[in-house]
Amino acid sequence: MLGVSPSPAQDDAFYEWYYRCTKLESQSPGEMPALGRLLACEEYSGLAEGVLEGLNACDLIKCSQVSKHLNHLISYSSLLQLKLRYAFHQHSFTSSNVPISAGEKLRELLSFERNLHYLSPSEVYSIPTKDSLWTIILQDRLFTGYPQGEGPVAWEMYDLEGREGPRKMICARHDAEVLSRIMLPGRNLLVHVTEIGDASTHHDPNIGKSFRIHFYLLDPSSDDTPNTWQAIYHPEASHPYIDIGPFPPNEIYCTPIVACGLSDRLMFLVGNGDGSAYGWVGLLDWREGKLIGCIVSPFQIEPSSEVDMIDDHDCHMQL
Amino acid sequence: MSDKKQQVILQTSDDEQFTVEKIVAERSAMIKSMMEDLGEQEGQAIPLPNVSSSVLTKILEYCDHHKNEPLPAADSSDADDSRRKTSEIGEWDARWIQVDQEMLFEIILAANYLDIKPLLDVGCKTVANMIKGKTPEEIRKLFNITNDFTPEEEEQIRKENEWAEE
Repeated sequence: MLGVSPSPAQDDAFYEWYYRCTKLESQSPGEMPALGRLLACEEYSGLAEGVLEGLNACDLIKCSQVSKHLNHLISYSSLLQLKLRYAFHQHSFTSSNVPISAGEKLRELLSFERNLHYLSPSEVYSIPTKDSLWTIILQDRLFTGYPQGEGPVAWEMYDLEGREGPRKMICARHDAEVLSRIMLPGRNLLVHVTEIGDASTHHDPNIGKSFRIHFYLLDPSSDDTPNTWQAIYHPEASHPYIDIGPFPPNEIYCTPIVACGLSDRLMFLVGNGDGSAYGWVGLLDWREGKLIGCIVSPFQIEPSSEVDMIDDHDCHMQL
Repeated sequence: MSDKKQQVILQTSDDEQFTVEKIVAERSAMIKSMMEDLGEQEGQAIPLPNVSSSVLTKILEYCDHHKNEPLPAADSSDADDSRRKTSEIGEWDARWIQVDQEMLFEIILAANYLDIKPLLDVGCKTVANMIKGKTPEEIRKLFNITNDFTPEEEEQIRKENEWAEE
């Protein structure tokens, strides 16, 4: 039983809900159409899940809005959740299906993200220099970076006292050229940035340069190569990677930089190569796989500049 | 082997007996397993307490039509996956399963009980097809499901799923 009854003074919405629930309670399973029982009764949950497996993400979402029982079924089925997560990922971030460019699409994405999170409108982040990035790496006792080419491709690991080791961590994945990478040791999070195509690969002249930001975990349990930690997609990340496309077609850009921010946030910074007339800064939540906010700075970004990530009083929102 | 040995008797919940070809009955993994357990006991009816005669009649029609097809391997998840991925229902199956909601429900329950996986898939896909493209309200109406969300919960779920509405 519900245990509460609405007084006339209570609002209509509550009364409507109460009415629905009492109607539900008085409805015995026998009065429902047969297939209604299949989709509404606990005892047929396994069969209902079999039905739901035949639906695409869009229909699954509709079903999740039908009743609490269906919502619960969908929320707790790993297969259905995988389907929904994949669809969300496809929708929001993959440039193969959704052309994310510097224009309207990204604006829509930002608007959506803000609606979802009701963020407070002001968070100030400092833009790191390459030196400060090195400091982050070098100060850590477990992970010592060493350069190879443009940036560190591997880390040597020592024990907590800094004496044992070294063990090599393979950080570069061979399936794409890595433009930038950062290891956040405290969270065992390795972030890679790769470029994913332009107009020549998308066959769409309106789509510009996009970057794929991968979230890896360094896994020490690999049997293939002893003492080598392999990068696997991070199990705590909602999405293995997210795609963002800040630049219009044919734009030249500088090497992107990723820096750690507060809690699970990362900052992604990339300047355009044309005299760095502007820089693009995005704020990501790697666990949730979301682009929380971004700005395009109208000025040349100097080391240690401070950028207001959400509030755009001083920065032109050029999207 | 005589023809009689190729037949099996099935007894429904309403005490009707059906004599069917073994190859037809074996579409049900449950019956097949029971037959193996009972051995060659002539005239021994296999009880099916969860299936009525009207539903069994319908299901035997399905089993008879598919009797020469290879049986899905027991516990073969690969086979299950490949069958499920084929979202289309065969032409004959689609015509065969054009029944009312009550019968479709009974067929799904019986397919589950008798362990006839391809039939269970056809049943589930048929219900899924009834849902496709419908709004939550239309789904509720079709199956007479009561909306037990509070308006606040409803709004929250709608908001969470706004991305899919574009």
